[in-house]
Amino acid sequence: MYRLFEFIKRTYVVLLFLLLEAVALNRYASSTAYTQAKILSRTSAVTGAVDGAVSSVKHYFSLSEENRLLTRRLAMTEARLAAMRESEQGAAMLSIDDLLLPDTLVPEWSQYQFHTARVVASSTDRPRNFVVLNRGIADGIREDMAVVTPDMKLVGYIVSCSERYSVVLPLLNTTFRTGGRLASGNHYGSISWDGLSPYRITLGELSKYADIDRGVPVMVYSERFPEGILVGYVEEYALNSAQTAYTATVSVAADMSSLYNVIIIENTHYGEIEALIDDADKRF
Amino acid sequence: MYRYRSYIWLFLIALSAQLFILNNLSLSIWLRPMIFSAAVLLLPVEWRTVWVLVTAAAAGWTLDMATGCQGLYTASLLPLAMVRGAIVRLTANRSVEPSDQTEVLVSLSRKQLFIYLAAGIVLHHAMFFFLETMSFTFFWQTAGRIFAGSALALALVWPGAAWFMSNESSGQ
Repeated sequence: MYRLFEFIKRTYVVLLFLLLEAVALNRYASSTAYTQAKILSRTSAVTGAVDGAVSSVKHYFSLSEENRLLTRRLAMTEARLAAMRESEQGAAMLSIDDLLLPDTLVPEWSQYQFHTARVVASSTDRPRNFVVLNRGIADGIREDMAVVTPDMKLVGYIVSCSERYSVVLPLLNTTFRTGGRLASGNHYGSISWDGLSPYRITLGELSKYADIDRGVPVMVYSERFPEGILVGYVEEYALNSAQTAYTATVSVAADMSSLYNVIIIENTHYGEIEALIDDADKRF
Repeated sequence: MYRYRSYIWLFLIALSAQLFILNNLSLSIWLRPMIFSAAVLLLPVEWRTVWVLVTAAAAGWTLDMATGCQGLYTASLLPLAMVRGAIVRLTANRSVEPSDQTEVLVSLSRKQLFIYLAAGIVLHHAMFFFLETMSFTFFWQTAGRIFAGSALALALVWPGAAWFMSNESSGQ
């Protein structure tokens, strides 16, 4: 207390000046709207700067906590990513959303059922190649179902099923037969493979009136397949010796040597169509 | 021994001239002389600062009440009362002690007195006009007002101050 009095005794003039000046300035500051606004803006600038400095210091000391949270979140994300990768590789189930179906195909898909499968064995170096899928009767797979790549390119169709597996007759099999149609018109022919190059197949019996040219896409023309399944592109073409039809060499669109995930397509009307054809065949 | 009556008259005349004449004149926006600061400046420097502060506060408060300035005159005059001794030391190179037996201002030469008054008046005008604007946005315009107002105030004050100090000198 004594020191306080001593301090006041030594500095009372300065304290009195500060007191009187503060009273005068306070009265002046609150006298008009202009001075009030000016004082407010000045004090806001000062308090804002102080608050900013304090906030920066607080933020600096909270960085360790933020760092801990970020590290934890990173670990969680990495764990989820690893789980998704394992799921993708193990299940071999594709989402229909991932197929990127062309819009024009959508109305046609109503009579088709989709299944996904993974290739467990395949070959391309023999005249009679086959592809084995990890889906069978237990999964609802039947003979004559179409098999395409995830981007809708022809692979083949199923010719045999076991309880858990199925065998595909791919287009790289000399016994494979299906219809093919030029995308440039409605003329169609027969697709087959001569067993020589795994990259080229033959489109024969194509009408000489077809609008054919190099590079024209060839689409599947069969009741097993929906519209819009790509077979390949015309590389070369020529009229046969009788000058009645074209025979075209078609480059295969699907990479048959690297099949992994495939889509099995079931035409629910296929049995009905086949029964009608058989009946007509018997009657006429 | 100070002649308090002459200082009271000095104060009354300075405040009255400021209040009734100069504050009512509209010479120019650049010419706004404030001579009442001279009354504080001419108080004996040897006086205890606390009494000078009280006197300045009273003068400022009177002007504030009379003009409705709500503290502007007081706030600008108090710093002048506080640093008066320092101005004397800086301008006249004279130390000021409370134990001085002779009046320091009376012992100053005319030139020293003029410089002291000029410095004090400029300081007071600077305080007043910057407090009035509360901004440095128009710094040079404010500086112009300070210079013009101080020059006119000094011109008005100097003859009276010189006469007052010679009277004080002859009376001692």
